[in-house]
Amino acid sequence: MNEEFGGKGDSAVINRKNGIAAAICIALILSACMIYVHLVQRSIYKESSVHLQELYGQVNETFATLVSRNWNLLSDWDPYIREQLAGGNEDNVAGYIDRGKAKWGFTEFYFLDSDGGCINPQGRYGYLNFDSGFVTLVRDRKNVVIDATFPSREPFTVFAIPVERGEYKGFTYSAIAVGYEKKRMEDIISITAFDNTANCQIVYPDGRVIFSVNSQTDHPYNYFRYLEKNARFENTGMSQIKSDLSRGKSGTARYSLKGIKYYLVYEPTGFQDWILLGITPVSEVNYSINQVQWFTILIIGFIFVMLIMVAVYCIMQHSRSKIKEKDEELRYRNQMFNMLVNNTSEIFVMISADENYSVEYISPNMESLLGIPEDELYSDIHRLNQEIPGYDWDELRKELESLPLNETLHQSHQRLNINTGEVRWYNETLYYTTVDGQEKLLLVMTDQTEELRSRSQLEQALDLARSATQAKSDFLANMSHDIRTPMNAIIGFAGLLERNADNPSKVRDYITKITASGQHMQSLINDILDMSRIENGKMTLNENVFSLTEVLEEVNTVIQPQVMARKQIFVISSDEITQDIYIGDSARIRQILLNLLTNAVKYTPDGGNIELSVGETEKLTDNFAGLCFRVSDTGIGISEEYLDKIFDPFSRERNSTVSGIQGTGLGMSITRSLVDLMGGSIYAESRLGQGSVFTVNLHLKCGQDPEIRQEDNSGSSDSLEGINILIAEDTPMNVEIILDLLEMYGARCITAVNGREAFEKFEASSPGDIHIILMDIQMPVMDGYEATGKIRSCGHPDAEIIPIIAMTANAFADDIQKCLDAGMDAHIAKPLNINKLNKMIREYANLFRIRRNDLDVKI
Amino acid sequence: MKGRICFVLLPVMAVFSVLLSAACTFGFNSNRQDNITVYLWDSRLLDNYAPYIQSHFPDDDIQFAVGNNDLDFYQFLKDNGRLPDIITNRRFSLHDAKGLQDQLMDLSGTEAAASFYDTYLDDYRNSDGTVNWLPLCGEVDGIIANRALFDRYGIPLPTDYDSFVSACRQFEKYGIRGFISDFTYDYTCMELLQGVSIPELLSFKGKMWRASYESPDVTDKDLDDKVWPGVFRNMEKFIADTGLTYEDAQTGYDEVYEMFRQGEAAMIRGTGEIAIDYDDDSNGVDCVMLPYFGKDGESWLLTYPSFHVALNKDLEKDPERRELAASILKLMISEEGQNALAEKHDVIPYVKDVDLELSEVLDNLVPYIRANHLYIRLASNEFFEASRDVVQKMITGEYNAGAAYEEFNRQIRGEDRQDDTEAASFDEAFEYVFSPQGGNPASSAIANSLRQMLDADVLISPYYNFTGPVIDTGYSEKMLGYMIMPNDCRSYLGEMTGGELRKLVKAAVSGYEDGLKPLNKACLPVFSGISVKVKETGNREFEAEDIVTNRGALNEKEVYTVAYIDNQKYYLQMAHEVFGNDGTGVFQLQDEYVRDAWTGYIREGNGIEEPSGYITLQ
Repeated sequence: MNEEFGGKGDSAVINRKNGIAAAICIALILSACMIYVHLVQRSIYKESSVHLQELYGQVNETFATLVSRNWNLLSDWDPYIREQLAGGNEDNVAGYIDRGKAKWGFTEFYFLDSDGGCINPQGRYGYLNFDSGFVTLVRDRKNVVIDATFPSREPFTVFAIPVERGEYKGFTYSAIAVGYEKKRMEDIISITAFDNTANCQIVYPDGRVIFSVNSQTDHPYNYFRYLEKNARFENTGMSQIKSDLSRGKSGTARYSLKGIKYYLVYEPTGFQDWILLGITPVSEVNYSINQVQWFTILIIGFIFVMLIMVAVYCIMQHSRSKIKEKDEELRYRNQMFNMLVNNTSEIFVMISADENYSVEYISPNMESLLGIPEDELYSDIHRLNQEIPGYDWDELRKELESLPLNETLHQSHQRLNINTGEVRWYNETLYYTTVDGQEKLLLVMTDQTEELRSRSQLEQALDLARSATQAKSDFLANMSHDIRTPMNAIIGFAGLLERNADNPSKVRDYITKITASGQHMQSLINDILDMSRIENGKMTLNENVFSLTEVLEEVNTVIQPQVMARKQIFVISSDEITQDIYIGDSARIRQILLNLLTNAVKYTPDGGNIELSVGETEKLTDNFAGLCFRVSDTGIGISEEYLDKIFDPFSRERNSTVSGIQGTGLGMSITRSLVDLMGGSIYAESRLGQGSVFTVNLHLKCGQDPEIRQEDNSGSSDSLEGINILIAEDTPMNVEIILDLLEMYGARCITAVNGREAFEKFEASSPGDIHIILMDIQMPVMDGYEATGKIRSCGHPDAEIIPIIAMTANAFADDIQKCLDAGMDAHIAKPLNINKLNKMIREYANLFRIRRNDLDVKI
Repeated sequence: MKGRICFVLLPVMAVFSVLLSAACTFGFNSNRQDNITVYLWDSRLLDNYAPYIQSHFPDDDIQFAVGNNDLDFYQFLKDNGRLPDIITNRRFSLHDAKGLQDQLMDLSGTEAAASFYDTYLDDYRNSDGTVNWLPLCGEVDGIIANRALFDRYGIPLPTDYDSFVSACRQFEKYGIRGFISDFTYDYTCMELLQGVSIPELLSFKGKMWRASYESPDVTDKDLDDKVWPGVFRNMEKFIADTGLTYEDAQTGYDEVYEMFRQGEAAMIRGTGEIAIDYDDDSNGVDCVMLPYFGKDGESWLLTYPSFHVALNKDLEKDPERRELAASILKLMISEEGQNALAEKHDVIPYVKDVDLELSEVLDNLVPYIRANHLYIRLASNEFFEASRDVVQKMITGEYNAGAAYEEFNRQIRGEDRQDDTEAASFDEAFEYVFSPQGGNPASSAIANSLRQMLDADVLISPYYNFTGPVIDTGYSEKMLGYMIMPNDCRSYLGEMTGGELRKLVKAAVSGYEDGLKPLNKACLPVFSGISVKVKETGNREFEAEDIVTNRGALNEKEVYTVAYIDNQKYYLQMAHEVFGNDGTGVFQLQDEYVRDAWTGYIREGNGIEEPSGYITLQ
């Protein structure tokens, strides 16, 4: 909750900061724009001022030229007039002036007296109203321009010069003048530039308008006063303008009037302190520039707006995607929460902590887990605990009321799912907390049923493990005893053998016993290894083609001595065997049968009967057939209790009869594992004191007759004479044993202490010198696999055909396969079975001979 | 969110507060008058000119009042903070107008001023370049000749001074006065004094002197010694040449009018208006106007504006009122407005783009007008006063030219001038503002006082007889008199029944068929002793519905003493309409002019009465 509150405050601060930053950015942008506009405007103003000053300067010049021209005209005429008047030729004067009028376009010519009276060449009298200009003419005797008025006539302008006193038609004059209608004057100084929006005015120094050209602006009497009252100047004010003019300076100003901006150009005309004012609308002057400027601003503004829009769009999209992400996240979280809640075994209930204890939230899995509909709980929370035996609301309420804030209340209840009837255990925790400042009770009901169950299972497994450990300990103790026993016999009889070396009968006896003990120990070790591989899941089966008959014969060969020793009757029977050749692990099948038969021998008293019956069960397919092996005996039988555990490892029946019989307790377990591995089944039936029957059903692939290996028929069946054998063995003792064994059979042996030496000796041998190579695997410098590989690839003529038989303590299928993959032809396990070795040597020596003959090589 | 709302509300509230305070500051001044007040210099302008102006502003009630033909009255009002919105006067000089300058709107920056010929407006330009006054169409002043008389006696119309003098002497032989004039009036004396010396006055020196004299900044007002001695010499000569005698010094207008009409005088001084009046008269005189004949053969016309108009500067505080006042001014100076002002007589336009059309009577003057031989009279108050005194004494022979010059100089220097002493004062002020519920307080107070003075039950007066507010200040005798206008306002006292009174009141409210009608509610008549319910029946048409006297409801049969005050012309209009005659048998003209009676009444210590509600407008 606190995090939630803190989060709101943080976002507000961030928003405020963002707002301030945005405001600052906008202010900066606006400021930049304003500065830009201001700079541009100032440049435009300067440029326009120069331009306008030039323009109006030209107007001023035109006006000045007009004034000068008229004064000059009068000055030029005066002598002529004087001369004509002196000669009494007043008519000439009139005519001369008329011609001048036609030429120069003035309205009237006047002879002026010092009082303002006037007469035109036609003799019409008049009076020019007195103004300061007239004073200058009369008193100061200067050329003047006078504003004149005659009632009901257009106002006109008089250009006058003082002249020497003269007389015309009885009128004494002291000045002559030409007059123009003001409109004519205004036409001269009119400006058509700027689409006729420019206004040109000539004013007196106090601002009274003398001439005004243009009809678009107001026509006040006094333009300075008019501007002072109505215009809003942007830079230079009227006082500055008047000051400039008083010093004869010209300039430019800008003002607004009735919402329109104007340029005001002011410059003295150069005479009588008259001032020329040029008033032009800014929009007209700056039309093109403004166009460009506004276009630029529009473009920039458009771009800016577009950028803003794009930015806004991106932000909106980003926000939308964020919101969408948030929504999706929320939805995902909701879904997850709902999924979690629905799929979790925890039930959540939010209850208000007021006196009503009203339900505010129930997780959706309530109904599925407890079978109670949500609406029932929303209406009555007590519905939740009604099924609990001994539920006391008052007591619970007391506990709740006494529960401090942020504390919890723990309970556990067994609850019934009303819908399924399933009973589950729930651990219930009630949190008294605050949500958004409001006090709430949060009930979390956690299903503890599986946990409890797991705990129980674990306890069971623990018991089991303890039992297995105990069994292992017992096994090890037994194994230690079982291994030590033959080992003691071997060592003991070896000692006796040494002492009785001269006693051949004892020697033979001792050797027999040593051999028996060694074989027993080998059997023990093999069982242990097999069990280990089985438990590690590494037991694999070899697939070879075998004859069932041969396997049975082998089994018979092994068992017969045992049964004969116990004077037992052993019978092997078969029942309509149609298929003799199968594909499978004949060794393991043999092992299974031997295990069962060995146990039968062990647990059948002397003179008992043991039978092995083999029958075919239904043929599954053309390629698969089922075999059933039954080993029955008339032995001591197995108790019912032990019968269930007979296939468990390390299990042996604990009774006085069995305790005297040797055994590791692994045989049946191994047998069972092998049968399971082959996909078969094994079961036992027994009656105490009557005997047992073990039945093994196997499904084997039907095979075809295997390649008949030609036996060596030369010489004695086990003679190895004429066979040259290369023995690669690094253990000297083993070398000695092998040498003795093989040389005893007449074989000629050469030895190598490692794979490299073996390879070198082979390579150095002549073709046919070496008939067989016995290769140990684990050798220093170069192991058997590598040596085999080098021999096979060395290029010796016999390289590819020389039989290589692996000798290894590892007798498992994958080890055998590895040897075969390395290029070896066969494998024999250590400790070596001399007979088996002998047979194998003879077979492969013969094979070598055949191969050599095939290659046209003579041994 | 709250912060954002505050940020929006705060500036809105600030702006609202500013606007509210601005409204409080500028919108509801207790002295603000909603109607524009236009003071006309003479009651004659109420006949046609005031209705003409009002007709152009149907949405605004213009409160017309009659001022005075000089500036003293306005100066008094201005000194007491009550200068009207638009003021007009006849007698004007920049010098006299100086006291009003700071309260008048500067018109130099307006198009209104620009519409004038610069040369005419130069005479109204202050030294600082401002222009407060605009002259409206010039009256033409000269010599009116009885052409028929000239033809009868075969005397050619004068064309110069010599022929003028010759004509006078020839008429003398026939016992006809060659030239007479109403020298009892100051304006006649002044205009003749200047008229006979226009060339001198318009000489360079004369113009220089005049510019100096007219300048408000020049305090030493002396006649120069170059031009003016000659002016008085010309006057002296004129008097001698025309045979003016002692008796002529006090001749009034009626006498002159009668003599001229009867053919006992061949030429008189007059204006174009007078000439046309004579010509139009039922006993018409075939008149022709002649210029003033100067020496050296130059002949001139004397002109003066029909009146001058100025605007109160306070109008600039209220853009709406300013705009209305500017519109009224624009109408006044328009061609149509000046024609309306001129009515039927010919005037000289001072503005451009106004055609000059002269009637046959003034046809003779066209050459002089076109030659711009127009002299604008110098019309300061002191000139009027000094001219009358000096010229009359020149006619009586008391002064010769030199003495006249000296005396004139002395008078315009103000050596004998006495400051106006306070004749009375009022303790309470009553504003000159018409209220539909009660009427005009100032007019009511004066009317109530006049009723008391005349000892009448009821007093009825047209609104224009009362000129302005009653101010709680001291009044000189002149200003007291100015409270009543026009100069010839007379009082008529009579008795009538309630029924007759009702008829009179109704006629006064609705207006007279051949006379004045109230232009708007502010121009409704003023009553004292009765209260009248008035209903506006149409667009500025009024009807009296109910009359209550101070004694109760009007009794048709009861006899009431009723005083009616007005000038004779309008009184007769009323009398003919109401009584079917000139009021004989109903009213009796009181001897004393109302103004004089009023002045005397107040000076005697009679206070001014409280105003009373005399009108209720529905």
